[in-house]
Amino acid sequence: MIREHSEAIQPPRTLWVTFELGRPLGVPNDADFQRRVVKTALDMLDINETPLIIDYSEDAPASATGADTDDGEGWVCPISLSAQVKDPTQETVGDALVREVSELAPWYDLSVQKTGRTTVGSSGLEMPAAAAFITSFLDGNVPDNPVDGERVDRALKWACDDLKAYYYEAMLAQPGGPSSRDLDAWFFGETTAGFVFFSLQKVLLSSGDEAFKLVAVTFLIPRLQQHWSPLD
Amino acid sequence: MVRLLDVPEPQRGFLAKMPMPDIEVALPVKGPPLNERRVAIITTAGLTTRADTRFGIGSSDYRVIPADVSAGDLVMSHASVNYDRSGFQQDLNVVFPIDRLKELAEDGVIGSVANFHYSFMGATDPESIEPAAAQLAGLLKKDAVDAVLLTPV
Repeated sequence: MIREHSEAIQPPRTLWVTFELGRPLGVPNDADFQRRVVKTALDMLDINETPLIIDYSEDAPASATGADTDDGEGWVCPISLSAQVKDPTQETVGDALVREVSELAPWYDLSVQKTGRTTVGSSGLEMPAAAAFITSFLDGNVPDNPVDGERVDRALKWACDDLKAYYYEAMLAQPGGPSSRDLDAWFFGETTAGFVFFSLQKVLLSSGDEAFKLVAVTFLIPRLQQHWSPLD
Repeated sequence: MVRLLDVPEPQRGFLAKMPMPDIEVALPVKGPPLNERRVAIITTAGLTTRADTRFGIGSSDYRVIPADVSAGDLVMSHASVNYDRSGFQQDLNVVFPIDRLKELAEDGVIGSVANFHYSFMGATDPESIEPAAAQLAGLLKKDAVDAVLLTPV
């Protein structure tokens, strides 16, 4: 989806779109918009002067991108989550994460009810088990792998993806849904889960295991969120 | 987006330095009109059915997605965390527009929708994908596919 990459690789026909990475069709739940994108791309098959890049004429509407609106109000999480760790002498980070997951459960369930599906499930673990598996790394030991027949670094990566998807789907059930930037800022900046991700990154980086280090450096926290850490 | 200038740092620097494979420019192939073409989707979104093996970091193979898959049966095991997944979480079609293709077929805009579609995991060396891509081309021919919609993330 990067224009400069298409220019370098020169595939026969490229419809270049301005949509954010991860949304090649532009706008979720807008069939007409998506159909126009698909039709424009397929119409390029009739053009035989290749390689060809055509600039798609439509941007995704601001309501779909979370771009700043005129009301001057940014998105605010409408759910009041408890303090990340209520009392360090009484509650571990793992306990706090399980509590937070439980607090979000009604909203996650509502999301599943509304959409008729969930994208949680890469690890195959139920959410409390996925959360417990992730936090069990925080003491520096490698726990037993709960995903049969798979490498533990992959199981950890998928459990993290599932945890994040659970949180995002819970938020997307809210009216006036947040943008991807809102979701990332909230998840990594305001939740216990985000704190756990940064803590996990620190533990994995000092593990001496190259597979875990790779997950920590590249496949855990988005680059745009790595300019800060709650551990600093 | 998505032009490098519009991507915030440090993501922009990473993408700018990404090595590009040296691929021979393909000559255009004239095909039938769109309303006679059979169309398949190939996505690099790392989608798998729940029953299928997930993609791992560096995976260079592909997964088969039947046309009659239900949206709830697909999960995303892409390695990268540097693109939006909330669109996919709201609507499968924003990365895998299977319902849009079916509508276009019903309306006679395209000839038909392939029986099978395919998924790669895009965060990998493109050249390592070549053997799987060559194999997949054979599968597309067997399904009489003569148009492919590529949906990268």
